[in-house]
Amino acid sequence: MNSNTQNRNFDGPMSCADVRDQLAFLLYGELSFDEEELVETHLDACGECRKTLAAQRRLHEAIDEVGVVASPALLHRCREDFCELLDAQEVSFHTPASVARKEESGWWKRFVDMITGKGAWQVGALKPVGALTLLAIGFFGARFVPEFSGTNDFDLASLASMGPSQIRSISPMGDGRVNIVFNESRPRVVSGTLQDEAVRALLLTAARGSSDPGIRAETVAVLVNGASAVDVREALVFALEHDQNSAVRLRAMEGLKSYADDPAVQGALAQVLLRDENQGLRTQAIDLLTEHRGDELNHQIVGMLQELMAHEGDNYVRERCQRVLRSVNASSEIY
Amino acid sequence: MGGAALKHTAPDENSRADEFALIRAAQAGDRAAFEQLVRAYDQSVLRLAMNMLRSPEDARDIYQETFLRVFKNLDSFRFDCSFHTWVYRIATNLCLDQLRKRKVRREEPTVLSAGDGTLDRMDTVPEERADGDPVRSLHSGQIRKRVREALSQLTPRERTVFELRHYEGMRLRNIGETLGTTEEAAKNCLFRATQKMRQALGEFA
Repeated sequence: MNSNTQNRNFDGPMSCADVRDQLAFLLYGELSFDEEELVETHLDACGECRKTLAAQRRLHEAIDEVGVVASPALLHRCREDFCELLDAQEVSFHTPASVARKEESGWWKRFVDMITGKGAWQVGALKPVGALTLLAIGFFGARFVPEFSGTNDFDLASLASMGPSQIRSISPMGDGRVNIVFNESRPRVVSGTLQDEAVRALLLTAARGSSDPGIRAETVAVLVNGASAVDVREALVFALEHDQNSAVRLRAMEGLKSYADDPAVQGALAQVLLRDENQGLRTQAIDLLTEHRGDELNHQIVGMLQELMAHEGDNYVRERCQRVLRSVNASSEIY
Repeated sequence: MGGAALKHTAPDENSRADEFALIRAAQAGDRAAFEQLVRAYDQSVLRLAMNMLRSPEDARDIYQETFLRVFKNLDSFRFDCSFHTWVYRIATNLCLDQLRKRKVRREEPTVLSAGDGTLDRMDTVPEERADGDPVRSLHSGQIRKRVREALSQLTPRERTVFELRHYEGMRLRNIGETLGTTEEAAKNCLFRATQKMRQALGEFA
């Protein structure tokens, strides 16, 4: 393969091979006006190259399918970790928070000053009092604070399965021992109704961000009961438009049934109609977009149905679509 | 459905002026300004890392390392390029290094590897509805698997250029600038990447 093929300057008509080398750039919008003109001219006259372009477009769509969007939960954790990392950098940021922290640590400094006789506490008689206080803290502290040494306090299996990113720092202590700081996550239980703020926030996050389709499906099933609220409806619309699992999308669609007049819901239904790979969902989208509207289907919906007819491969969906178009005396084709 | 690429959009004049002020404030030691800058770009950086590395753990590490480097080198940022390009340059170089390490170790995660990430485990979950077309769903799952495999076969440079163009929607000119190379070199790289993807996935298209 000639790696410079794609960079040739074309003065006259292009050959099929030349055009095919440019198709990816055409789809990415990376051709100059003149180059695009030459490619388009060739495509107008060459059915084979048009087929190749269509195949390449399908390939692009397939590649789009494996694109990922970072979940809000992952982003949240990254942000939290980074804030901790910034704190650990001991930087000289002059924020109100850092000033407050310094003020909070003042009592310790004053205490240390007192027992060491520094600063304003230059009273020699207080030194033995301070020393006795420290001794008492050490004595009683040792009895009340549990000692964590070795791995006896941890479940070895859970430590072994821990990812490297959970370990925050490792510092040798000089006597052969080592201090390891790691993040530990523990399951917590929150119970309540959809009206409870914490429950609602968790459900809205899970609907958009959980990597487990089962959890997303359960979440959406709960959320459909509160679809009258805008934030819940937004989460359902998001699930309908973006969820990769058709069962989750279907549940979201069922929850949005009563809101088919909402523009956001209509937009999501239009996306399903034209792009969803599941014919069951496409069929339901036709129903929801056209139900109870009689002859008053707007031009946009008619246009969408005609567009669907142009590329729909499933006979049942086509038939359903055709029936609706016929009922409003619209053509099945786009002219 | 789903998985549609979120494209990068260039900041307008007003936001550019705001950004300039934020960078100056952060350089002067204002933590709130720095955190605002991080928030402006961290979603894109995380998405880029997720798409390139396909591993939430690795993406988290890239996120931390990228912004730590931004923080440590903020004083040396002289506005020679846009802040976005500078941040992306750091992030893509880190991803590139990670991909190179993987190539040496011959490992490439092509499926989901953690609970808090974003890749859907749909491939491992059967369709739950009777009206889901199993043949179509199987075919679609196969395509996704093949696409991931084909992506993993690209060289780290090809993969980087391809990810930046296809998933991040960056122009070749910006990709060249981000990677410290020319637009032509980026175009050559994209050409090779798309040819390889076509060869690997031709029968599915």
